[in-house]
Amino acid sequence: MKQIGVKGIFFRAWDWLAPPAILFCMVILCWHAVTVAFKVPKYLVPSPLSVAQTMYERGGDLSHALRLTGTAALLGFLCSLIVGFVVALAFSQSALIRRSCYPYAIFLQTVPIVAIAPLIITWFGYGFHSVVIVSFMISLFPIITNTSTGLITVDARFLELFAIYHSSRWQVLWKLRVPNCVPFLIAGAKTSSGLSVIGAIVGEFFVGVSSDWRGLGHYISDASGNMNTTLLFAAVLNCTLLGLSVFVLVNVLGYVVLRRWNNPGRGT
Amino acid sequence: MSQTRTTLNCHCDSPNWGGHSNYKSGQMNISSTGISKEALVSCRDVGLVFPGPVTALAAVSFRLRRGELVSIVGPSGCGKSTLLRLIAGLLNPTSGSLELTGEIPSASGKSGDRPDVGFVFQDATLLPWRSVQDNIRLPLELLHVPRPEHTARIQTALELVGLKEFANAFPAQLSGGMRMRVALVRALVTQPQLLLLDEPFGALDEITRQRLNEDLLELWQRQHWSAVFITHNVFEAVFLSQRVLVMSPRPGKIVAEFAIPFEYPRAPDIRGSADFARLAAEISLCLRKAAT
Ligand SMILES: Nc1ncnc2c1ncn2[C@@H]1O[C@H](COP(=O)(O)OP(=O)(O)OP(=O)(O)O)[C@@H](O)[C@H]1O
Ligand SMILES: [Mg+2]
Repeated sequence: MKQIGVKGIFFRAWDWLAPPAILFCMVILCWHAVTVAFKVPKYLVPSPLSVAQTMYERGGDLSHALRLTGTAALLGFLCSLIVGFVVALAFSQSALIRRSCYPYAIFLQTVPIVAIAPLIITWFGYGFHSVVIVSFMISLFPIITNTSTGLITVDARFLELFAIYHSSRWQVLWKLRVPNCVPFLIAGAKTSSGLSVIGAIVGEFFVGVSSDWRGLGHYISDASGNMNTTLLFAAVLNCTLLGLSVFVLVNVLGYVVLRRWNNPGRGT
Repeated sequence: MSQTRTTLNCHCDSPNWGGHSNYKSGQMNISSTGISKEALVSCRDVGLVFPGPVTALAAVSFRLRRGELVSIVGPSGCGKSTLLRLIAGLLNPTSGSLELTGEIPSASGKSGDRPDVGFVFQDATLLPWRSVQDNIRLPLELLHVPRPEHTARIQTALELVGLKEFANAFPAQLSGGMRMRVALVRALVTQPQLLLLDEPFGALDEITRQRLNEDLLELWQRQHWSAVFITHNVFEAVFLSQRVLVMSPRPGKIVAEFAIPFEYPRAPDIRGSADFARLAAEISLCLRKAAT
């Protein structure tokens, strides 16, 4: 019956955070040592110190970019959660809908986004909308497939139990299929959250340097055009930071929600 | 179907299982057990062929009277679960007729109809994301029982099986026996007239199984439902029921019927009596013969 309290979560967080943090510091030290020892030119591999310096000097620009990209990615992710869930609901209700639409869902997954990104930009403009849409399109598929699986693969005995009480389709959906799909939805969301960040950055590549939308993708594309490797590193680091925070956010939320589904209390 | 054999001549002169011997061979004390003559379930030559074709059941006939507790034993795969599904209305027979208090059970009942059956599966089949009380609440929700009634009914149900302090626990936090108890009262919370149990205690250890058998009997004596109890365990069948039906291997049919003359309430120690052992041995032998 013991539940893990807030304090417990912090201790767990520490267990999870400490080892990668220590590894990070060691890698930074090695990196610094290598750039100093071999006198690697700055345009090839800048030292961590100069990257830190650029981060500080361009802090305003970069944090603004981080906010823009983060907003677009989160919006894209949210849209794919909602749309993916609704599509999966439709799939679960009719084999006909499932059969007719599934090939197009696969199309979404397999078509290289770089091939249709220019089209999206032509349609939705050089800015925010296009970035969100690219992010949404890239992160949609895992939600659809995972959620559909969770809605469809319900234990036959549960279905019989519901049938004994003459349950309506609606009751089976909301009291059985939807709760059953939650762990699947969360697994899909973990994959999707990372993809949504990638999608936003790819979208920003394509909206171009001249756009008003100056997200992290803009700086990456700009810096690589000018051989400003230090800025490139700083921007990439920010992307990583963004991806990591979205991932952590989804995992923590997932952990909290799944405590109910994951046989709480026993042994832990 | 002339093979049906009724064993009624049980000489119960050993007094060590309850002491009452106020019955004659073949007579059951109807008033004390609440059995009426009225049939609750009547199967006439019920057959079921699955597409394949697999003949799961061939011409099963039996009657379950109101208030009666009947066990069915039979070799694995002989169609016991199928028979129970038919009675529950989850399947429709491909031949013969099956009636439940005059009605033909059907899987296509309208939503909101009050069902007359409760079903207990081999494993507890509790929804893992619902707490114990919410699992017991599920049938009430599905049948649109008004919310204010839920609390009292769930409380009563939990008290019946002594799980009051586990109301908010999740299924995974319970032992197998406790889970089975929850499944049992979940099936009973709608106050069904008929309880169908498909090898409910098969996965439990012997002591837990015996304890649950006793609990089940106590509930039955209090609440006056009828039950069809499927089991592999002959001792369990003898201890619980008024009649034991033996099924043949697939295609399943009922090959023998044994009346169990022990009085209710049945003391746990009747399991040690000579009559009990003889009846169990006789049924086992019949089962073995049927299986070859
Ligand atoms: N949906 C189905 N389609 C085809 N055949 C089936 C189906 N369900 C059951 N059967 C077959 O019907 C027969 C009877 O199955 P059933 O589950 O009723 O047996 P059982 O007596 O309950 O066995 P056990 O004691 O192992 O639970 C089996 O041979 C099985 O293969
Ligand atoms: Mg079975």
